[in-house]
Amino acid sequence: MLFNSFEYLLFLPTVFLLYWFVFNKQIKWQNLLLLVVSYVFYGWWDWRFLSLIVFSSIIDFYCGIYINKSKSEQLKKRWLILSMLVNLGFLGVFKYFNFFSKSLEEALHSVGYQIDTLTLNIILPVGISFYTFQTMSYTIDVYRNKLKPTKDPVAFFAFVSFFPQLVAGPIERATNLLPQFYKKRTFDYNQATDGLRQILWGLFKKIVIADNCAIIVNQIFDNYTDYNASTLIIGAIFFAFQIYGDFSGYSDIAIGTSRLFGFNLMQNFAFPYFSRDIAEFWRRWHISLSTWFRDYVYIPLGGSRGGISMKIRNTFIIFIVSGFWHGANWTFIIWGALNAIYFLPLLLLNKNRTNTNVVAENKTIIGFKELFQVILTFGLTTMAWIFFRAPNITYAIDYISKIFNKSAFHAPQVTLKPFVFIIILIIIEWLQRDKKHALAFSDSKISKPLRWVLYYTLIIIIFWFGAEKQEFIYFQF
Amino acid sequence: MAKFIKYSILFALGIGLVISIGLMLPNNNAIRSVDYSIIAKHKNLQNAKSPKLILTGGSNVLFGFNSKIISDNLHIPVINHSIHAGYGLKYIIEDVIPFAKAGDIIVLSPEYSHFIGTNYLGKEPLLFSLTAKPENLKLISINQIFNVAEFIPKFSFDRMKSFINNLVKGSIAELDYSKDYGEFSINEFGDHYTHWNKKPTELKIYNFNGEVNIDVIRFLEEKNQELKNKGVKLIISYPSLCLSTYSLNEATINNIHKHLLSSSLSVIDTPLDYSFKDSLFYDSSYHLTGAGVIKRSVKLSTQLNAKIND
Repeated sequence: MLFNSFEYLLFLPTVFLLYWFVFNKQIKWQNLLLLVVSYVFYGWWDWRFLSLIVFSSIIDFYCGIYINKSKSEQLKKRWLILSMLVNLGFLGVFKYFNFFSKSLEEALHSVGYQIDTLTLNIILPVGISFYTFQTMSYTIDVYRNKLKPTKDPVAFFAFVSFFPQLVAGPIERATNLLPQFYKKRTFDYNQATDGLRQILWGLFKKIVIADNCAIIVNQIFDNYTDYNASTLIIGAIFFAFQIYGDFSGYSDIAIGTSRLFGFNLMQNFAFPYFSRDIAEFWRRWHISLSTWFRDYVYIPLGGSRGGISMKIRNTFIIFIVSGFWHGANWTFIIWGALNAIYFLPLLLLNKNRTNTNVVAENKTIIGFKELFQVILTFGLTTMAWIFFRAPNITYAIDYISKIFNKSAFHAPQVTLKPFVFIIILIIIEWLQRDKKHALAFSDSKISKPLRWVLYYTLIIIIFWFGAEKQEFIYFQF
Repeated sequence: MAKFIKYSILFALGIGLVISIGLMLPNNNAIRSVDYSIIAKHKNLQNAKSPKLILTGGSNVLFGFNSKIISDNLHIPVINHSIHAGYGLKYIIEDVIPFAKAGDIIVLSPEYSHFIGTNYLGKEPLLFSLTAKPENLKLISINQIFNVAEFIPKFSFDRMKSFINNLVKGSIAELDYSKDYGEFSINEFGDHYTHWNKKPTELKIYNFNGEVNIDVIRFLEEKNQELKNKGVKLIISYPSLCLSTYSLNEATINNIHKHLLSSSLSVIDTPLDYSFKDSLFYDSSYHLTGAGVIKRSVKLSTQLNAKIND
């Protein structure tokens, strides 16, 4: 079920009413309702893949219990390995098998061996990378004694499949989300209305920004050889905003929806395009994934504690793995490696935590230096996005090489209409850049009529200028 | 909670009001869209003597035939009933059935996309048809309502845009009867004809790959039986399609063909029979140029002649 669909428009209020008015007597009934509706939500795409979520949940539920029960460290480790094998096994089969198989075939072919490797005719289950990472965080944290294993299967299964963030995150940590399933939730008017505002902003980013940019981006990337350099630059910039609007829009809707049910999910995007360097960008972009890799991969590898070679190795590992998480394609690996290259100088010069505050703090207008830094960071990020969007590496390199010629100063050959919406986005997000989301404000600061005018204006903009419905990009990951 | 529910309902009512305003705005276009040609087509169907041949389907039929050629070959009245594939196969067939009488032949050319997902229940264009012919609301089932409901806000806002645009630009004064897709772009048979002598515009290639919805085949079999009971013959003929789109979707098309052949439906041809070279298409993978229209009309006449005399 898509967040921007008619089905969801019926689904959400129905679940809301059942949750607060019918199943509100006991927490276990609310959890059971959340579990059932989450499975309905997921099964709307393809009910067959529900079996993967159920299986993964069963394995991790019992692994958690047995890790805790085991007396010896060796036994604990075995249960953890079982959990990892099952979850990474699912990813390996459904997401990466064909990639490795084809890559092996091509590698052998290049040295003169001709083999026909096995490829599987399977489709990628929606959200598999998200929920497997979420459930792995549970067994790892139980193993590390950061979390007591749950004995409540309904709460645990609901935690793994919680519908707002099931298919595209934020990838929640068990330590943050699971305990919320044990506590009694009470309805909070301010939290719920703020949640609705966040949903509204998410819909604006998805339907107006991302979907309008998508039309131009597809047109340019599908026929990039027909366009001049300035148009290719526009294509890359629009893709940067498409992916931001698409993914952060989804996160806003997910977080906002959760707040309607009394849950607090972690912030997943913190206005990343206002970052002054790549390190800051990665603290603000897809925060739930970056911190997942930091806590479960980077730090166990030694983090940045060791010598220079260890820092370089670990940085490349985390960025390349992060790239590979997005998809089984060399383009994502290059995208990750490119970001590692951007990041490394800051790390080695100990400047990776220079910009931890908000850009132009306590100011309305940005200074020249910071503006230059923001533009440079955006430019580097956008360049890397070309690899992310391209179907293969040759394509990406050719696209980039075509950007650097005289026609960069010619008029673009496509409509620039999405820029109008992008400017609206930038202005509103700039004014709210120190908040959790762009429409986060205290009710007492703006009068009710003015607030309602703002909401209706946004809704009218969404309907009036919204482009044709498109799936969320991150569903494919 | 009560406060939250109260304000949520009030807010939703406000949105509903804005959408309703859009739905109720009058159509102030100088020439209304081709959707309104349904009125003339119904009149033709009403007046034509049986036995008659009814061509129906989506816009592949509207843009695909010169009915006079077929009528001259078969010596029976021919009416082109089709308008838009987006109405959905269910609506298209149920709209034509009341006009079919014993002895009539209906040649149905569904678009391939009708067999994928829930497309046969209709999309946004169905709302346009209902605006042109509100009496047809009685044909709409719950499933169809559910399928098109999500388009209502966009439809309403599109009407608002069009209304305001016409007011500002004063397009009421602009009457160009040679324009395509207008109420008067059809001839007396119901064929879209204003494009016959025009040069092709940019061709749109479609990708409609997906799983075939078996419910569509079952639905067609049910309707076939209903028509048989009325003494009406239903013949399935494949749509015209440009070869680029055919190649892109060959697996799906073959799958559809396989399902149709294993059904109780009468299929007169094969997908390749009407998969013509790209240059014979006007502005979409399904819409033929004037030359393409002649080619398809002659071919269908020959095949129907053989079928009728069989």
